[in-house]
Amino acid sequence: MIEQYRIVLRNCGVIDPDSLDDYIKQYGYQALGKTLAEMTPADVVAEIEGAGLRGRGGGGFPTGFKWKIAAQQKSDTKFVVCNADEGDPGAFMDRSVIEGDPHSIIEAMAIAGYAIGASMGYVYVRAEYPLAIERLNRAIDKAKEKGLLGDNILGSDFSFDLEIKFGAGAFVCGEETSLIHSIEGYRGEPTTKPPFPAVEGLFGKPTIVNNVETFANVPAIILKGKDWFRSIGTESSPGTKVFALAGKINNTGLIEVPMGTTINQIIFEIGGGIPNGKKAKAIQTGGPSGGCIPVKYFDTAIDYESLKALESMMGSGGMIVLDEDTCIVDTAKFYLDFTVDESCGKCTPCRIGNKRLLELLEKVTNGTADENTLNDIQSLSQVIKDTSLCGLGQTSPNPVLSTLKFFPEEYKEHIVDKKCSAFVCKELYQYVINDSCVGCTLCSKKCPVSCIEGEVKGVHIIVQDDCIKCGKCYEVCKFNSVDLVPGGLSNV
Amino acid sequence: MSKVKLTINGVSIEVEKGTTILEAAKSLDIGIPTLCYVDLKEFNVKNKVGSCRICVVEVDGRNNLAPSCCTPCEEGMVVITNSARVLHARRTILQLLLSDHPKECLTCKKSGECELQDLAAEYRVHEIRYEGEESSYPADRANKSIYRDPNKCIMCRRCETACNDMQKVGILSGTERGFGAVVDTAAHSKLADTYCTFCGQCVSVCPTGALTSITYNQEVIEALADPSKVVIAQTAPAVRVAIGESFAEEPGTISTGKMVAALKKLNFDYVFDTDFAADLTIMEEANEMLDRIKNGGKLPILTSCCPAWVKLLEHQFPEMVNIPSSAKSPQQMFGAVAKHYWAKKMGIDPHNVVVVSVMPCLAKKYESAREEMKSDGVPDVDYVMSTRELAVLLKESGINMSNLKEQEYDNPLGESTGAAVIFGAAGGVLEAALRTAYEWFTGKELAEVNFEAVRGIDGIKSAEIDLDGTTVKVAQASGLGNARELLNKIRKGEEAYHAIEIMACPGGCINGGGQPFIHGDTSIIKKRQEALYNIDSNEEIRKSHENPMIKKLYKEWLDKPGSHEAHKYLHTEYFERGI
Amino acid sequence: MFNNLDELKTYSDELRNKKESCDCVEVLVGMSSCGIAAGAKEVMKALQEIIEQRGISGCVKVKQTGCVGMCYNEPTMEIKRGDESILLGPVNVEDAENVVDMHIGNELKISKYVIGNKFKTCLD
Repeated sequence: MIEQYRIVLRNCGVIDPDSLDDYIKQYGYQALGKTLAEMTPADVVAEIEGAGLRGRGGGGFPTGFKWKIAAQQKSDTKFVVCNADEGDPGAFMDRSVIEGDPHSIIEAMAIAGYAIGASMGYVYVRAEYPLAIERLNRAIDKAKEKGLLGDNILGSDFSFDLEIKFGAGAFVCGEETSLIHSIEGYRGEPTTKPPFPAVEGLFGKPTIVNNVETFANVPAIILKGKDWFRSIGTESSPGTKVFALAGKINNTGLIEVPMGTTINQIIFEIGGGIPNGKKAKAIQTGGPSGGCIPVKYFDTAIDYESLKALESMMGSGGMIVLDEDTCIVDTAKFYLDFTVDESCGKCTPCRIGNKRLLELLEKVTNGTADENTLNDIQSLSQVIKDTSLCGLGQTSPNPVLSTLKFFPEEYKEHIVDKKCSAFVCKELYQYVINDSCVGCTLCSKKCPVSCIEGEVKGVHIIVQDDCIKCGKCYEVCKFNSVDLVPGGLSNV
Repeated sequence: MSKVKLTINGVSIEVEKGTTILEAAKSLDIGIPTLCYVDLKEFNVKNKVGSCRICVVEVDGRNNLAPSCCTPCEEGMVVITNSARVLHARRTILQLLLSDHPKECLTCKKSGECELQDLAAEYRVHEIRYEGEESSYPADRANKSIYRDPNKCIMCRRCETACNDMQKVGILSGTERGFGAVVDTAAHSKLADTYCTFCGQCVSVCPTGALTSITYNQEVIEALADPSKVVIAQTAPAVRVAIGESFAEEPGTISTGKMVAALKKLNFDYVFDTDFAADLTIMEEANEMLDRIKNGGKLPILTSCCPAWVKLLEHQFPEMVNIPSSAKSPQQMFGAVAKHYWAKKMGIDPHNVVVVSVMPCLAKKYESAREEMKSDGVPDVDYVMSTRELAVLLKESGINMSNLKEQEYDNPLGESTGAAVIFGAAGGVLEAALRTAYEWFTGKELAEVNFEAVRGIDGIKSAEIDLDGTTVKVAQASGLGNARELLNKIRKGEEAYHAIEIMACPGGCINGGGQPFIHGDTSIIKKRQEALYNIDSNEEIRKSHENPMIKKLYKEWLDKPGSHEAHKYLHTEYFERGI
Repeated sequence: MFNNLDELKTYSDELRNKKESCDCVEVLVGMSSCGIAAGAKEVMKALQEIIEQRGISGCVKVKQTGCVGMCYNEPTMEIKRGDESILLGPVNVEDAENVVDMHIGNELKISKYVIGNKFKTCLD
C-alpha cells in the first residue's frame, strides 16, 4: 500500500497559516537562516541544482539551472517571481499551499533572492484567490515585523522585500514571459524566448520565475540536504509531486506522493477507485497541454519523462479520471475549447489554428466529419505545434493528438458509424420509446419542450425533430420504456 | 562585437552577434516572407513581435520551427529556410489568416497594395483548407481621415508599434483574447472619440486593408465635372518628391512640373501651390515670433503647420494651448487667400470656388473640417486628397504622369521660394522662419541661408542662432513620441527655447501618412528629403519675405503681417480637448 | 525581532518543548477555500460559541488550519490531545458540541466520520 509523503504540503492542515509561531515551530525560516549564516549564494544554487529539483509548474525545467543562469548575470537589479497564476482546470495545489502555509513561499523566495542576488520579489497571484492573497499579505507583514523579511534579514547584510501582484485570470499569464509583461502593466501576452527571463526578464532585468509548488520544496531541501531530496522519487525526477485528483474518482482532493508512484497506486490505493462500480478508461494529466493516458498504461511510474513518452505531460499536477461513460472526443474538445478561450490571440496558429482545430473536432462530434477530417486534424495540429509562439500554443493540440493516438477507433466510430458509444455527443444519439410503453403519460407531462405525443394507455412517440435530448423522459419512465440508441443525426 | 558562424541552406555565413536569422538570410539573398515584421531603421522603430509566424524556418536541434525575424543567430546554427516542413507551415499559416479574413479582395481599398494578398499570390493559396467562423466587427469611418476595418486586422501589431512606440499616442492596442483578439481602441471607442491625432502612421504601416484613408476622390470628380464650380488645386511641398514613386519613378524624383501637368489633365481650372501659402505662413509666424521675443510674449513659440501635432497638444498639453503660433497652416491660409482675395480679384463668388488640397497627410483632412477653419462662413478648403489618392485618381483617369510634359503652376498663387518647399522636411519650417526672422530682426542680409543644424530626420534637434548678438535658442522635433519628450522637458522646466518646430510624422511631411507606402524602407524618406533641399538650393529666391507675389498680397490686401485683416483670415485659435 | 539564526532556533525549540499545563484538547478546523465553501466557517463559529458559553477556553483550544487535501471530506476537523490525534470529516455544526465534550472525557460519538490519521511529512 503506497502512502503519501508530504514535503510541499508539510504544514498544510497542520499549522495555523496566520500564525508565524506555528511556522517557526515547524523549523520555519531556519532554512533561510542557514543560507544566510552558513552558505554562499553559489552554495545555495549548487544545493538546489544538486537536489535535481525541477519546475513543478509544467515543463520540469531544472530549477537550480535557472537560478544559476540568473546568478551569473551581472546586473545591479534582479527579481524573484513566484508564479501563483494557477489555471489548469482542476488544479488547486498552489492555492492550497499559499492558504495553508504562506510563510514557506516567503522563506523560499528570500532564499532564491539570496542565491541569485535579488532584493525584490513579486508573487503573481490570480485575483480569484482572495483568501490566499489575504493570508499571504498577513504573513508578509508578520515576517517583516520579526526581521525575517525586509532589511538585514536575521542580522545579515541581505535584504529582500516582497510584493503581491494580482493576475486578472488570464490562463496565458502562467507562461513566464506573459506573466512578466502583466506585472509590468502590459497586456498579458508572451514574447519569444530567447531572451530568457533569467537573462532579461522583469523590467529587462534578470528574473527567475518559479511556481508555488517548486518554491515550497526549497526550504526542505536546504534544511535536509540535496542527498535526502534525491533519495525520494526517481533518478530523473527527484522529490514528490502534488496531484489534484478529480473526475470519476472516489477520493477527490490533493495528494502528495514520491515521483515514480504508479497511476494505479494513485487511483486505486490513494484515490479509492472509481465510483459506482464503473471501470476506468483513462486519466487526463497535464491540463490543456497534456493528454489522456489509457488504462493499459496505468502501471506506469509517473515522472516527467514517462508522462511525456505517453503523449501527455506532468503539467501542474491536475489528474482527472475518466470512466467508461466518458466520450474521449468530447474530452479532447473540452480541453481545446479551454485553450481557444484562453489563447491570448497574439500568434496566428494559436489564435486561428486552434479555433479551426476545435471546429474540426466539432465536426467529429456532430457527425459532419468525413474521411479527410482526421488528416486535417493531424496536419493542422502539427503546424500549430511547430509554429506557435509560446508553450500554450505549442502544446494545445496535445489533448487531441494523444486521444487520436490511443483511441483512434473512437474517432472512427464518430466519423464512420456516426455513433458515440458513451452517449455524450448529442447529435449522435436519440431517445425512443419502445413497445413496452403503457401510456402513463408521465414522460409527456415532464417533457420541457412537449415533444412526446400519444394517447393515455397507448404507446407514446417522441417527435425527434423537436427533442432537445435532455433525457428527462428516460429519467422519469418507470417501465424502462425509453431507450437511448445511437443515430438521430438526421434529426439535428 | 563578437561574431557567430552559422549555415543557412548549406551556405556558411559569419554575422555579428545579435543578428537575426532573417537579417542573415537577407544578406545571402535568401528570401523569407514576412508580414508582421517591419524595421523602420532610420527611426529606430522595429515591429518584431513574432506574431504572424509566416517567417518560420527550421533550425537543427530545435523541436519546433523558429520565427526568423526575432530569433538571433547562434554559433553553429544550421538553418533551413525552405524545407517541405517550412513551406507547409507557411502555407497553412496563410490559409489560417485567410480563413478569418474577408474574401473581398477585388473590392478592397487596399487591393493591389496588400501584403497579405501578395503573399497569398506568391504561395499560390488557391484553396482554404480550414474554413470556419469568421470574425465580425463594426468598421469605423466616423471621422474625416482614417477608415478602420478590424475585420481585416491580422494582429500583426504594426499599427500598435507605430502608435505606441513611435508616436507614443497610445490609441491602438491588442484587445480581447483568443479568436476574438483584435487591435482596437480602448473600450472599442471610435477614433474620433479618442486622443487619436490622425497622423496616419498606423495607415502607413498596415499591411492589409484594416487601416486605410477616408477618400473624397468621388466628390472631387463630381466637382470637376460641375460647370458652375471653379475647381482649384493646391499641392503641398512633400507631394512633389513622392508622387513619382506611384508611377515607378525612383524615390527622390522631383515631379513638380509633371504633377502640375497631370492635375491640369484632370481639368482643374487652376493649379496652385501650397508653397505660396507656406511663404505667407512664414510672414505671419516670423512676425509673431519676433514680436514675442521683443515684447516679452509667451515663449517658446511653437509652429502650428501640423494639424496632428496641434491635436496632440490640445488633448495632452492643455496648459500650453496658447503658445503655438496663431498662424493657420499653409493649407488653410491658401484656402482663405484663394477664396477671399484671389476669387474677389477674379470676380468669382467664393461659394463657387472649390479648393482641393493634395497633401502627404491624413490629418489635413481632419484639419480642413475643423469648425474654426472657415472665413466668412466659407470653409477654407473643401476636399483633401492624399498623395496616394491623387495617384489613384490619375491612374483611373488614364493619365500616366511620367510621360507628361512639365508645366508651371498658375499665378499668382503658384509663386513660391526655396524657403517654402523645405516645409515638407522636418526642420524646414524653422529654417524658413529663421531666414526671414534674421533679416527682419537684424536689418542685415543673411549670407548663409542653410541652417544645417535643424535639418535631418533625427527625432530631436536643437541649435543656438546668433541674430547679430542676440542668441535665439531653437529646437525641432519630428515624430509625436519625440515631440512629447521635448514638451515634457519644457513642462518640467528642464529646457527652454525661443522657438520650436514640431512635425507629427518622423522626418516630417515627406513621411506623412498619405504618402506612397515605403514598405519599411526608410531610405526612401532620406531620398525625398534630399530632393526637397535640392529644389530649395536651386531656387533663385530662398527667403519667404522676398516672394514678389507675397509682397503684392500684403500691398493689395493684408497691409502687413499681424494686421487686423491678416488675423481675420490667416490666424486661428486652439482649444483644450478632453476625450 | 530575530537578530540571528540562533535566536530563531532557540525560539523554535521553546515552542516545540512547551507543554500544555492541563490535558487540553486542541481542535483544528480546515479553513482553506475548500473547507470554507463546505461550511467550515459555520462549524468554527459554533465551536467558539459553545466554548465561550461553557467558559472552557482554557481547556479546549480551537484554531484554523489549511487544507489537508481531502476535498471529499470537507469540512475537516482534527482533534488533538497530547500525542493522540484524530481527523474527522465531513463535520457539521451539530458535531461541534460533541467534539467539545471530549475535554471532559466523553466518548466521541461521531466515529463514523473518522477518516484516519494524518500523513507522513518530511518534518516527522
